[in-house]
This record gives sequence, C-alpha cells and structure tokens, in this order.
Amino acid sequence: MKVFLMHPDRDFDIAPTLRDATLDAMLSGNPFALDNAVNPASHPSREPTQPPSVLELLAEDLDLESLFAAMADGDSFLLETSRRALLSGLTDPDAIAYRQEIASDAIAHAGVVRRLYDLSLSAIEHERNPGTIFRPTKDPESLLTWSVKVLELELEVLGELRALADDAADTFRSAGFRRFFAMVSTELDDDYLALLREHLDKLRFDGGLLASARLGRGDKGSHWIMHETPASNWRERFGFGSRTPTHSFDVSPGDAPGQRALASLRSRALTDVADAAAQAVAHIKDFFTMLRLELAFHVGCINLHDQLTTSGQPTCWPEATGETRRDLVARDLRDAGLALRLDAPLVGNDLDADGAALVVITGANQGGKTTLLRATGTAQVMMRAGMFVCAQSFRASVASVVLTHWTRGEDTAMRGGKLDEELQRMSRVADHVAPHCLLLCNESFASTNEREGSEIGRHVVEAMLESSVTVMLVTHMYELAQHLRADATHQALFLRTAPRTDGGPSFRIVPGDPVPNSRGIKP
Amino acid sequence: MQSTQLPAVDTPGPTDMPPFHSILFRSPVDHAASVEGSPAALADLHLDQVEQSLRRQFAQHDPGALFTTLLPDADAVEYRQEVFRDLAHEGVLVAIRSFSRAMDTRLEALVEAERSRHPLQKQSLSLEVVKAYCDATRELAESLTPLALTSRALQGLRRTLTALVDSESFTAAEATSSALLEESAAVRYAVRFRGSRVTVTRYDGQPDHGADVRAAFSRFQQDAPATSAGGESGTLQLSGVDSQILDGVAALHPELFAARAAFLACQGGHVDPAVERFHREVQFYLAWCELIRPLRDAGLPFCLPVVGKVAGAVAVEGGFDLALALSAVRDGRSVVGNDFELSGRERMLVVTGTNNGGKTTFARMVGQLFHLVALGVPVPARYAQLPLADRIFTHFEQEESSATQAGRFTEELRRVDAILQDATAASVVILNESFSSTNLSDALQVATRVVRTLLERGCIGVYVTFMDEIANLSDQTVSMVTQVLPEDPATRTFTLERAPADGRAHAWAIAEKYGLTRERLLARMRP
Repeated sequence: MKVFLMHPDRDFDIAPTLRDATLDAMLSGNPFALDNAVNPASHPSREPTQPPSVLELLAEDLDLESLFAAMADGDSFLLETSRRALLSGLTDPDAIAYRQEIASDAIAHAGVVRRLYDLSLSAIEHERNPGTIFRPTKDPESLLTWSVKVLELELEVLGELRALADDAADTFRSAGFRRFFAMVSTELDDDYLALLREHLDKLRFDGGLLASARLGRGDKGSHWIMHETPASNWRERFGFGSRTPTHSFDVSPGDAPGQRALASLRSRALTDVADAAAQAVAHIKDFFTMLRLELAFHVGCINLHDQLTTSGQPTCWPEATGETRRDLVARDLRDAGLALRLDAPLVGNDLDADGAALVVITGANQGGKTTLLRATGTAQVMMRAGMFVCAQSFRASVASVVLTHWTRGEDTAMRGGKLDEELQRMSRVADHVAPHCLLLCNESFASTNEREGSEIGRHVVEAMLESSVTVMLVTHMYELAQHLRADATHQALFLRTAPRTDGGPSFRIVPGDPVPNSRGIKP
Repeated sequence: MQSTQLPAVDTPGPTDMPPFHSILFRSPVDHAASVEGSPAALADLHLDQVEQSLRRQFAQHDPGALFTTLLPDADAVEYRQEVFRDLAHEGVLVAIRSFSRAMDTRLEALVEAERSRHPLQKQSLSLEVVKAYCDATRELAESLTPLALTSRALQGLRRTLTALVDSESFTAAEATSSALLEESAAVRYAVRFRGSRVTVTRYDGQPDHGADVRAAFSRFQQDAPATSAGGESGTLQLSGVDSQILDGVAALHPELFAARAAFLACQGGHVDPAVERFHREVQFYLAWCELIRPLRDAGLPFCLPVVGKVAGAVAVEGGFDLALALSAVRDGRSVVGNDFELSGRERMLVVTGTNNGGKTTFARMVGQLFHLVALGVPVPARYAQLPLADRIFTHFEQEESSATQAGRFTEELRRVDAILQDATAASVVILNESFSSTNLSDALQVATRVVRTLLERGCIGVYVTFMDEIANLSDQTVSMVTQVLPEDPATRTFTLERAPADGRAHAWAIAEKYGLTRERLLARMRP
C-alpha cells in the first residue's frame, strides 16, 4: 500500500542533502528525538567550518524560513517537512500538476485532511507506547506479546481509516486522493480486516506451541518454524497416540536449568513468528509514517493558504511550463515571505519576461529591487513544490535548479576577506549549475570596486548565459549593467525602479534601461 | 658451499620423479642444512618486526623458525621461488587459498567434535570433518589439474593429490560422508511444547505460521523486505532438553543413525599426511603473499632475486626497507627505493651524508635483502641479484649497553671481534655508525683495520659512518651519499647515490637557499 500523495509513482522524494539525522528523527515517530534534532543547542547540526550548502543559502537568501514557519503553525514536524518539500523541488510540469491538484483538494477539504493526519499520528503513537509496555528488544516471547498488543490497537485505527476513506471517496476530486481512498477501501476490506483479527487470535498460542526444526550443524535443531497449534482432539485427551510414533518427556518443575533450557528453546522456536509479528507492526508503522509525512506537506499548504488569504494576499495556482522554454509572466506578484512578516499592504509587481535569458534590475536603493527578486525566486520555489504562489497569476518555466547569490553586507568581519568569501561562494554555486537552472544574483561582486566587480561579473554572467542558465540580476553597478545592455547575444530584459511620485518609494519595478547616476548612496 | 647429493633437477619425467616431500624443502637434507639467523641481527635489521607482521598472517598456524632460517644453496632457494612464480598466477593462488581456508574450517570442526559431550553430536561433527577434508582435497586436486604448473613442488603435490583422490578408500569415504550428512540435514522433526511436557514427532508438512503472518501483513510494507535469521543460536552446545529431543529424533530415524555410527567406527576418512603437511607448509607462502599484498597494491615493487649465478655480484634496483614500508603503507606515507651495486672487486658500501637522510634505513634494507633472498621469497626491490650469505652479521650502536664512554667503546670492540672471528667469505656484515663512541682518530684507526680485515676475508658489507676517509679506503669500497634537493635542502629525499663522500652536498644546498654562496654574496653586496 503506497500513499503517493506527493508523486504519482513514488514516495516523497527528498533531496539527498536533506535526508539527514533530522529526517531520521522525524521518521522515528519520536517527538523528543525530533526536538533534540532540531534544537541546535543540544545538537549542533553542522561543523562551523563547513560552509552552508546551496540549499541552505537558497532558504536564507529568499528568507524561506517565514514560509516554513507559516506552514508549520508551531509544529516542528510540519516545519521540517515543509522545508524538505520546498527545497526538494519538482522539475516535471506533469508531476507539479499532480501535486497541485492534491494540495488544492486538501485546501478544499481541510477538515478531512487534518483528521486523516491525526489518525496517522495516533497509529504511530500506538507503536511507541501501546499503554503499559515498551518494545522489548531480546526475548521473542515478550516481543510477540507486545506485537499482538500493538496490532490490536492498530487494527482499530485501520478500521477508522477505512471508514474515513469510504466517506471521503466521492467528495475529493484529485487523482492522488481518489487513488489513495480507493486503495484503502479495497485493500482494507471487511474480509481482510477479519483475517487480521483471526491472525491475532492465533498468535496468542493458547493451546501450546507446535514447532518443527531441521537437524542443523552438530545435530542441533535449526531453521525452527512455528505451526498453528492444532485443536486438541479426543484422541489426545484420552491418551491414544496418533499413528506416527512419538517420544515424550517432562521437564520437572523443580529442575531449574531444565526449565531455563526449555524456555530458551521455546524462544528459539518462537523467534521467527515473533519476528514476523514485529515486522507486521513495523510495516503498519511504516505505512502510517509515510502517510503522515506526505500529509504533513498538505497540512502545511492549508496553514499557509489560511494565513495568506486572511491577510488579503492574492494566491493562484501557477502554470508550470517545460524547462527549455524561458517563460516568465506574472500579475501582482508578491513576496510571500515579506507578506507574512509585514502587516502593511504590499505592492505587487507585474513581470513580462517571456523569452528573456537575462533579467537585470537596476535603480534606486530601497526601491523594491530585492523584493521583486525574492518574490520571483520564492514563486519559482513554491511552484516547483507543487504549491500555490502569492500572485494573481504566474506562469513560468520550471527551473532545473534554483540558485542564489546574495551579497553579504556585514556578515564578514574581515574587509579583505569579503571578495574572497563572495567568490568562493560563487564558485560553490557554479558547482551546482545545470542547464536551464535559475540563478538569482543580488548585488553580487559588490565587495570590490565597481571596475573590478563589473569585470568579474561580466565573466560570470556571460559564462552562465552560455551554459543555458537563466540569470536574474539586481545590481547597482552601472558599468556591468551597461555592458550587459550593449551585448545583444542573449535576449535580455532591463527593469528599473519606478520613479518616486510623492517623495516615498513606489516599490514598483518597470521596464527601463540602466542610468549612470542611478546608484544611490549605500546606507 | 653445499655438496649434498640431490636428485637432478633438469631430468623430470613421470616415471623417475622423486617422491613428493614438502613444498618448502627440496629434500629432508635441506631442512637439516639450513642455518638460523641470530636474534640480535634480526632485531638490528628490523626483521623481527617483519616476522611479527608475518606471524599475524599465519593466524592459528605456527610458522616455527621458517622466517629466521636461511636456505643452504641456490637450488633450495630456486625450489621455493618456483612456487612463488606459480602462485603469481591468480588461479593457483585462489585454488590454494580456498583449500587452506577449507582445511582451517575442518580443524575448527575437529576441535568442536572433540569438545562435544553428546555422542550423536560428536558423530555429526566427525562426519563434517571427514567431508571437509575430502571436499578440500578433491577441489584442490581438480583445480590444479588444468593449470600450467612449473614448480617442482606443486607438480609433485599435484601428482600426490591426483593419486590420492582416485584411490578407493578416499572416494568411498567421500561418498559415504556426504550422503550421511545430506540425509541428516534432510531430517525435519516436530516438537510440541505444552507446559513442561515436550513431545517429539515426525514433521507432517504443516504450513509455516511465521510466513502466514508475514503474508497477511505484507501489504503495509513500504520498502524491500528485511530478511530474518529464523531462530538460530550461535553455540553448538546442547542443553539437557536439546539432548533429549535429539535422542527422540534418533529413535524416529534408527537406520540413519546406525549407518552414521557404522561408518565412523570402521573407517576413517583419516587425513593423508601429505595433505596435512601441505596445509601446514603452504601457510608460509600464503602468509608472505598476504603480507606483501597491501604494499604491492600501493605500487611498491617485489621481485624474485637472481641468486648467486656470478659469485659475489650484487645489483639491486629500487630496494626498500620492508619493515618501514609495512608501517608506511598502513599510515599512507610514501616509501623511497634505492639502487646499489657491487661489481668486480667491489665488496663494501660506505654510506655517508646528512643525518636523518636514510642511511640506517639503507643499511637495514641491504641486510634485509640478504636475509630474504635466502628464504626464497619475493624481496622488496624492483630487481635484485644477490649471492647467498652463510650468515648476516650486524654491528649497530647499542645505546644502553654501558654508561661510560670507555665502557661503550670496549663493548663495541668486543662485538666487532666476535664478528671478525666468525665471518667467512660468504658472510655479509652491516656496520652502523660503529665506533662513534670514541674520538675521531681512534675510531678511524679501528674502523680502517676492521674494514681492511673484512675486505681481505672477502665479506660483503655496508658501513654507515660519518668518516669520509673510510669511503676512500680502497678500490673495494663504494661510496654512497644521501641526496638533497638543491632548491629545498630541508626536504629529505631518502635517496642515496654513488658519489664521492665530500660531506658538502647538504651544506651547499642550504647556503644557496639563503643566498650565501660566493656568487650570490658578491651580487648582493654589489652597490
């Protein structure tokens, strides 16, 4: 039974660098383990010497943490799942459409989805704590007892899941949810649930144990397997043997070593069945763990959607187009992160950059250049995650990879080390470049003088464009912008901050060529 | 050196082959004629470290004095070298290794059988021991058959094995032990536990309950199934309950257990002594191959030396200190090889040069090569031509031997006297910083006399010293000097080359680095 609420054909596919100790803690189902993993005080997540990964840089530069926090609504499992979903983007428009449909269904049926999430959570809790006993590690007989106890509880959850699926079958519209509910209804039908109940009864071995073994090395019993205990019949009860010869002996109750040997032999015989029962528990837990993980993303979408619509922000389902096209059109595009952080009304921007390999944004400081860059990047990241975006409409080619290179103003203590750090980071970014990726540069190469910075910038941008990378660049370096303007090799779009109308910034970005005196005094 | 009558080597024929004796010694005579090296010399040359590493490769087998015992003549060395040449072919090495492992397992089963206290279990393990021997022997015989073996030893072994596995007693033991073990393994019996009552009966084909449970819950499985071991216990020890169950099983299958007892009572499946001896002796070859494998993998060369065709001629390319290389490769450090040669009247290498430049390592390397060539093993060098030494003497500084300066010098003289007394024309003498415990003129005087005596005797020698004069003592001495990189004298190259001992190479390079050469000083001081 596969959940398939993230991809049509596989489990939630998380980027390799995000399959870390935190994910292990999430999948363990133990909330304390997760708290320890995400709390940096008790658990330093990475060596301070190790530079942040490109995904960490992306989250930081686009300020995605506000987004994760809104999706989490205070729940660390939801937070970590949202982080992983947003940073493990899809590249296939069909896969995006599949997930968009499910997310949209989830938003439309928020109550049912939240109940389903709670149900999976309770199934996972049963394994962790079925009431009185914790999972025994060694003794097969106790393991079997524990497993039967857990399975009894899980059986109830399975019944509830089945009932929920039967009810929901007709109201959901998305292929993903319909497939999931249909699967639950067929796989967990009445016959099957009855069969499981019957199995649990047999696993109590009320009539004693019947096992068989092979003569192994040194004639020691090996390959023990258990058999269902036959019902005792009148022959046995009245002392008549069956037709096969038997040899019986009794271990005296007072014979302590004999009793120990008997117990250990029973355990050995029971090992396989106990193992099978424990495995059954594990399988059920694994199923609910995957269900919870995939639902956590959709619950996150519900939370975020609630927050954005409550504060009056526009949302829409973006149209994702093939990565080889260079589509980028938006109406009233806003930076979702800023919208969540800021209570004031936001200015949306329109973008018409279809076909552009290079978008250069110049203009006054504090004029909304970085915000537009973030809004575009965030929309791309959300679209790749199969989510809605913060705009009235948004159509864009799916980037194969989203990379960011932000200037680090006061981060670096040493003035001399700044360019070094910046270029080193650019070199790491270059390691991750793939054709049709999107590179967002915010005031890159600004840590040296304009001449040198422009020269380096020119080399980098040209190399990127020649490698089929789409570049969106915010810069105050006129020399760089002017050079790029003069070069007609690649289709480029030049945008400028709109002039102030009433003394305050308009935060609107409009088409316009770079202007020499546009460089403001850096605060 | 040796005049023992031996079977002619170059007239092999199936009919007049000498009986196969051993893969280590051409004949029992060689074994007796071998000489053991002195422990002090082995320690000076760090061969004790090599031996320790080698012993670890032997694991449970005892190598005895094999590593310390020098073979008496070139043909005895050739006899082992031939085996190493055959082992260089992967097929031969794989076949022998697999035989050795199988026989090791057999020995372990033998110990278990001896320890077992239940007669039926002892029976079962004894059958296993017989089968292990038969399987290992047959497999080795069969894998050797198609191989192009060139060594006398392995050809002899193959003849012996072929005859053995065709013999009636062997094939009978082989067939019966296999059949009985197979039959035993096919027995499945049922046990019913009710309270304290245990009942053993025949197994009636009841279905596997665990499998049913797995099948019932398998639809929840998310990933590939985990395999389970299925209730095995590590120990062979039978509890009282196990024993009674086994007795019950035996009563259910009386014919099988009777047949097992009968086979073990009348037969043996006793191990042929030649097979047992081969298993023991081949450990020497396997251990050596295993010891040098990581070094070879690290790119260090080993070769089978040309032994004493021209009396006294010595030529080595890329020789390195094996003890040092063993630890260096473990730690990922690099190893430097050195060449040396003695031709014509040359007998003694006199090594001078910078401290820590690799002089002592070089001297050890030479001593090791003379020892290793006489073991018949591949030696640490790219190419080596060496005569066999009757003994290898070492004279190394012994720092803790005496407290006073005078006492140390007396001690040094006493040790060198002993060497001069015993050394023959076929001996190798390694002197390391000898007589440095006294003043230069005394040291020079003694050293000159010792070197002249050794040269007259005809010994081959290495003398590591700071006394340049020794290097120019006669046309029989060869001067070797440690090399430095002129551009960076601080980097030690550990390379030694034939060069006049002028004691200046290192100082010169340092002077250049700091611009203190005459030309540089003049240029710098020019206004």
